[in-house]
Amino acid sequence: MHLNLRWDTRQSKWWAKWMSRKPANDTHVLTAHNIYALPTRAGWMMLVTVAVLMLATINYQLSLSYVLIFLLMGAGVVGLFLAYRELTRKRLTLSSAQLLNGKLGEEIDVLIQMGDEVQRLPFKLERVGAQPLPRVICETRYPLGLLRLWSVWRLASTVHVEPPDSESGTRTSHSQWTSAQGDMKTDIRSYRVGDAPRDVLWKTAAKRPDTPSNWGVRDWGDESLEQTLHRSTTMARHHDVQTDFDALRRALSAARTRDRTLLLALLLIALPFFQHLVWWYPLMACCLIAWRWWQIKTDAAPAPKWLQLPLIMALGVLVWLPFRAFSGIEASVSSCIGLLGIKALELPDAKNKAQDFTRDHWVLIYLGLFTLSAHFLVSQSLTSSVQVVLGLMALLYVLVLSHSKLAEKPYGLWSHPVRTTLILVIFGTPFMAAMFFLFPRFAPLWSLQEQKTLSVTGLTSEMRVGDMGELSRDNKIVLRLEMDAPPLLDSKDIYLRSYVLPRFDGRTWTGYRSDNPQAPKPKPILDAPEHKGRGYSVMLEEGKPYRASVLLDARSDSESKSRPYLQTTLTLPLGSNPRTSQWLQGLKEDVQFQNFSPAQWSSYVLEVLKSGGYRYTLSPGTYGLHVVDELLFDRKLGFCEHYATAYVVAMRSLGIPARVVTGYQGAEINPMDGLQVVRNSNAHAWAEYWDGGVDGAWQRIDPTAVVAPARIQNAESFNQAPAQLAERGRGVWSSSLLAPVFRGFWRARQSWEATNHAWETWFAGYNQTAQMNLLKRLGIDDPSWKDLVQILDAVLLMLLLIGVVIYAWRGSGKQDQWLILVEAIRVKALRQGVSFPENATPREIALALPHRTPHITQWLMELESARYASPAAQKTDLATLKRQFKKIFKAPP
Amino acid sequence: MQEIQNLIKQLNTVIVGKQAAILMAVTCLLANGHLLIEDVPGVGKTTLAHALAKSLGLRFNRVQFTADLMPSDLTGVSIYDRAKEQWIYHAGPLFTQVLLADEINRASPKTQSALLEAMEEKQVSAEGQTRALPAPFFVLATQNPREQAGTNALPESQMDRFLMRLSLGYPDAASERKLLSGLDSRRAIEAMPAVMSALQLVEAQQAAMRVHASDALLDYVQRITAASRSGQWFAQGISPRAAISLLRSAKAFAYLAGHDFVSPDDVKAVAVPVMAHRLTDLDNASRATEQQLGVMLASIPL
Repeated sequence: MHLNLRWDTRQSKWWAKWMSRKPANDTHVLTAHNIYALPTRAGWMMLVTVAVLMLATINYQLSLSYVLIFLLMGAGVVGLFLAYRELTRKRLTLSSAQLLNGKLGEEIDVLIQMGDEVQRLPFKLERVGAQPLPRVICETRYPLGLLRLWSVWRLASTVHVEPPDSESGTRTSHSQWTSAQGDMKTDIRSYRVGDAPRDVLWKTAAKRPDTPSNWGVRDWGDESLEQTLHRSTTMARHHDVQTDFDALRRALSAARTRDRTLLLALLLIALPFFQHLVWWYPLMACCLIAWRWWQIKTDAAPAPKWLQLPLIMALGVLVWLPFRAFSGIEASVSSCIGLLGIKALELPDAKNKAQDFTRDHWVLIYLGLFTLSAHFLVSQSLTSSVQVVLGLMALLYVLVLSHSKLAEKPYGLWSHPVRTTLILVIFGTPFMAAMFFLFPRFAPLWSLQEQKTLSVTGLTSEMRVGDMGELSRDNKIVLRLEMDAPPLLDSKDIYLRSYVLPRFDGRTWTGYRSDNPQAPKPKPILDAPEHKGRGYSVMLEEGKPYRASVLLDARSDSESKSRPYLQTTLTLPLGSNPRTSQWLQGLKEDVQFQNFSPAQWSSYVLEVLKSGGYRYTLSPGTYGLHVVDELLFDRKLGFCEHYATAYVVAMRSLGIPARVVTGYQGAEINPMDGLQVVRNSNAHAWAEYWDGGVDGAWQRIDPTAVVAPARIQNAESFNQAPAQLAERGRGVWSSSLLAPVFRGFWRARQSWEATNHAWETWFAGYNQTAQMNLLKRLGIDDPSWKDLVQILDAVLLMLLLIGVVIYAWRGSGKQDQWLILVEAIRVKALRQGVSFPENATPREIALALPHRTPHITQWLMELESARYASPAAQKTDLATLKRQFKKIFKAPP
Repeated sequence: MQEIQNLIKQLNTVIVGKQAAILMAVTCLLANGHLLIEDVPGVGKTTLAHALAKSLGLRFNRVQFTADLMPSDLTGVSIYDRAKEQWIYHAGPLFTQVLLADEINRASPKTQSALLEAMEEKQVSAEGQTRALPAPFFVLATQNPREQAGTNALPESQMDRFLMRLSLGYPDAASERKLLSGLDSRRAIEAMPAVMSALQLVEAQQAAMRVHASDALLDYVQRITAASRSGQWFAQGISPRAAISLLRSAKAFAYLAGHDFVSPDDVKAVAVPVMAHRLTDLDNASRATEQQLGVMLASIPL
């Protein structure tokens, strides 16, 4: 039971008048009519946090951040249901085991019975005479502490207070102390769970003249818990104060475990940032969190307060140095995670403050939520989403743990808080899903500075010969290709152009214009003229998907036909590759080749590459100054960029404009979703030459295809890690034996990638357009946001109804229908002015009813036998009795 | 059933104005338990016990407990018979069907505990031999309130063996007037006929135990037991044996009232005589045990 009782100390007359409209009673049944609910202060703050998160989500168009926000909201809604269930139908009774009387100045315990549990409410007797007890407030903040549900109960019993005995000594020792020290009586009382040790004794002891001086006024923060407890015990003994230090110790250790759990949750949130940020920000956060965790664990003194300022300044420097700003995405994410660590260091020690969930705890929760949301700024992958949801669950777990009153040890895999957290998340998910898919998506409210594309894909705007060896082993997905209509393109026909590199300095290929590296990356374009006009979509793994159709002249825009451009594509650095140029100059002057067209020259060069004994390898080793000379005449080893370079240099030496193009070649079909997957290992470099003439065009030539046809034709199988492994493993193991393993591995990878892609389209990339498409699929012709809101309303209403039904169904199973009927009789009788005692039996009720008819008596006897007689002897069952009830008790006779 | 009603009627003619106590005494008899009557001297404790035994037509022995009463005075002794040249066991007053142990708390604890085995096991072990007591065996004990001079309080274990403790209290004015106007109860008892045979009594006892107790009622009894042990009402609650006694008594009470099932009202009716003598008050008890028990019963949900 997570219900708290306290006295209502509100003195306002208006309030008293308002409360007195209902009869006072020694039994209080919590029903929908007397439970009030409002957000707590932390709850209001959480609303603000969610609003800010929402704003950020809209402005950055972070689709997944909606998942976080709506899941949090869903958990809140489910929490309201849980809290409501916690309160309703609870019956509180002023325990009659006690007599409410005492002497002035004493403190008596008022016992309140809640089910099988008895709660003590200490009540100070401050006036002589018979007097009513104050109102009792029964409240709960279960399960998340965001909502406060409460009910006010006016007690009917009165308390009788006698004047104190004439002798000065009264019964209990601490009241003796209070009467002697009149003005301090509010300071000292026995310990109650939740008190900070220093609040119990500290101030009073310091004020006392006979307090030993070595107890001087100082912060308790720098001594260990054991020392504190020891000192408290000594002081308590000295002052003769009853303090239950075992309870204090238990409460402290529970609060500390909670704090440590909170820190672990924050650590869980901070850790994944190692993947996305420069290592020192997450490292700083994790170290600070872990340090605080260690301090609490070992009962060490917390870090000094002055450390905060240098830490914040250090964070500022760390953020400013690389980013030169505090505003950009990476800068703000980095600051956010740094701040999380610094704030974690400030987590108060449970022994200095009350063991409640303080504002510092809440700030950490809010910061944690911000950090979770910021996670989506740097990555929207499925893995990241799982990490964020886990982080959110950890935060919810900490909240549930802190706002439940539990007798059992609340840790363990299947403990109450874990179950509650799961209930919150699982039942909150339908709400989240409805809101996610149907809540209207807005355009950014104000424009933001252009987002920098994160450079993860393999290709860069320049190509240094020798740089791409590493890439071909990287199987990360770059993009997915989807043709609008079948058939799919053959893998060997797929050439996706990214960069056109006409400038060459002997080592490095660069673009025509000296591009700044900040410029957005070009979108890969499908270069397949034979499929002209076919539409296709490219879904980039990092970045926005786009649609296009195959263009015939994808290679030849007007600029690339211009004279200065063509001139550039003829230029070779002076003195580089002398042997090559010498060889080709010789050829060019040969009569045999006088009338060769550029196409014939190209074939000639390719023939040389094909028949010259050149080999394709991923590890050709480093090349010297004259790359092409070395390749063509000495080493004859290389991969695509080497051969592309060699081809272009050769063509240029022959006076034919040629250039290098980089991009992706080949794709692999994922049978799970039928999309063609292009990976980093598909990164490729090929060449284009100018075929001359008035209507000249750039023609694509893939020199690598000549050297190693398998590389192009089998791009698919070439990419497959299992195939490579199988090749390597041949001879060592029987490949037929391992084949199923490889196949299984491959299939698992394909499903994972398909899942990832579905995630991208349905969640990470879900936007306004996708929303409208969804409505179209649902059969709405011209969808607008109004339809969206209507559907959302309908779905939410349905979910609410389902929730209420589940709630009512779960609740009804536990209730004793017989007792409900007896309660109904009580209500009916009360309306007719007859009351009978609590727990009255049917016979007692019959005796209490003054106008009972034989009919009523007979009915009550049958009611009794329905519960207590043997089944064979029962005349009427409960359902029949229920039906008869209204007829029999219709009106006072 | 008729015999039981006759028994009650007959007892009411001798002990005037004590219907409730008589009903409870008969309930105790039907539940096959022993009865302890506690009250100040002279209110008719012995008369009730005597009348009960006489009306039942059972073999009846009366022992006046005194400070020098020895255990063997109850169980009997073996005496050497010269003629037969062997030890002959002479059964004590315990070998009877109804034993009236008058002023039981005047005897020494040693003697009191001699009754223990007889009451619980319905057998006597003396001089190395165990001898069964006749059936039915029923102990009716009377005692003076503990505070009176020359009494030894019964140990808790012995108290627990009495199914019920009753107190008669002073008669009301009308009944007292009747007593004063010359009714000689002693002679009336002598003249009383037996209204019931031992066999009929045993049959009635068996019938009473067949009264139905539903699960809901067993829950109720369990809640009472748990509440008495919760520490909130009493320092020490009732034992499992007492819980069984409570149920048996409630069954007998329901049987006497002509019901074929036990209702919480029956439990409440027998709760004070069955439970009060087995409970230990709290240190700072503000009510008498019986009152506290009443309040506790009212707080227990059905």
